[in-house]
Amino acid sequence: MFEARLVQGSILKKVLDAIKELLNEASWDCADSGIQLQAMDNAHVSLVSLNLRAEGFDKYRCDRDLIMGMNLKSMSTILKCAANDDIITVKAQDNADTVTFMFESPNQEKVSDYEMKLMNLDQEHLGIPDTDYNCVIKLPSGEFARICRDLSQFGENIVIACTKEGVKFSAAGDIGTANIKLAQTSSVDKEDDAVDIDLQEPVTLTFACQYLNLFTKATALSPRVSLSMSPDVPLVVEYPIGDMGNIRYFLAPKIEEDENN
Amino acid sequence: MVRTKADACATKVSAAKAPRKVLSAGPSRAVAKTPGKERYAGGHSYNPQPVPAWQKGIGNFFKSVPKPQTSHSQEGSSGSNDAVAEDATSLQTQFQKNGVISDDDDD
Repeated sequence: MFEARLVQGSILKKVLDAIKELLNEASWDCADSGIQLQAMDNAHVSLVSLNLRAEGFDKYRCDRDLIMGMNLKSMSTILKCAANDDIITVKAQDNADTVTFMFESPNQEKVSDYEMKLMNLDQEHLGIPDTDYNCVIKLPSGEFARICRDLSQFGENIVIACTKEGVKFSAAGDIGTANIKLAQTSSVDKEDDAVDIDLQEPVTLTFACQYLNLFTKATALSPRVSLSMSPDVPLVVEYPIGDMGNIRYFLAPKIEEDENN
Repeated sequence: MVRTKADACATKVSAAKAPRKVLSAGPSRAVAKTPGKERYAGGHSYNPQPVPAWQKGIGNFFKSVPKPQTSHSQEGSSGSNDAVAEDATSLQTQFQKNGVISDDDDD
C-alpha cells in the first residue's frame, strides 16, 4: 500500500507544471524515504531529478518500494481538477495497475477521486556524480525567469559569465545584443532578493536558451534558484521545494572543440 | 468651508457602496502574491528558440547505472532491517513493478 497526503496540494500541481513540458512520461519511484523521479527529456538533452522526502508529506505510507510509470499529460489533466487549496492524496495498492488521486476541499465538503492507469516504463537511470562546482550562484527565481525570457528575444544561446563581482547573462542575435549584469548583493535585508555567489574560479559558459526557459517553469515552486557551473560539466539549475525536497535540472554547456582538431 | 449641492448626497452614495467594496476585497487575501513576483512580471513572453546544433545529450556526461536502492522496505514493512539495505547485493533494484499497461493504450 502506498499513500501520500499533502495538505498543500498546490505543491504537487506546481511540480507537474515544472516537468510536463520537458517530459511526456516518467517513473515515480516511491519508497519509505520519499518519492523520487529522474528522467531525461524527450530529446535526451537535459535531465530532471525530483526529490520529495517522506517527512514533507502530512501523511506518508509506503509498505513496499513501488515504481509508478505515469503519463504526465494525463496526470496534469487530473491535477488540474484540484483547486489550489485542496488537500491531495495519492494512493496505490502494491500490485495495482492504477493510481488514485483524491482531492479534498479544506472544509471537507467536497471530495473527488480520480483513477489513472499506470504505464510500464523502461527508463534509463543516470548516475549523477558529486561535483565540486567552480561557482554556485543563488538568485531570486523570478529574476532568473525574467532574464531567460528577455534574452530569448535575441538568440538561441545564453552566455552566463560569473566573476567575483557578479554574474552577467548575455545573448546575441539578428536584432542586436543583450547583457544583463547582476551584482552580488551585500545587504541581507531580504534574503529572497539576494544574489549570492560562491566562487572558486571565474566561469563563462554557453547554454541553450530553450532549455533554460523550460527549467524556469519551476519558478512557482521556490522564490530562490541556484545555478551551479563548472567548465565542461552540465549546469545544475536547482529549485528547493520548501523543506520537503528539490527539483534539479541538468544541461550540458557548449563544449569548445579541441583546438588541435 | 464652501458647501455645494453635491455635499448633501455624497454621504448617501458612499454609505451604499462601502459594503460592496469590502466584500470584493475579501478573497484577495487567499491569492496573496509573494512580494517579488510582480517585480518580474510583464515584459516579453518567451520567444521560442531552436536548440543549437552544438547541444550535446546529457548521456554524454552521465553514465547509465542501475537504479539505487532508496529504502530498506523491499521485503515489505515487516521483517526488513537496515543491514539488508546496506548489503552490496541490494544495489540491484528490487522495485515492485506495477501491472503492465501498454504505452499506446493511453492518450
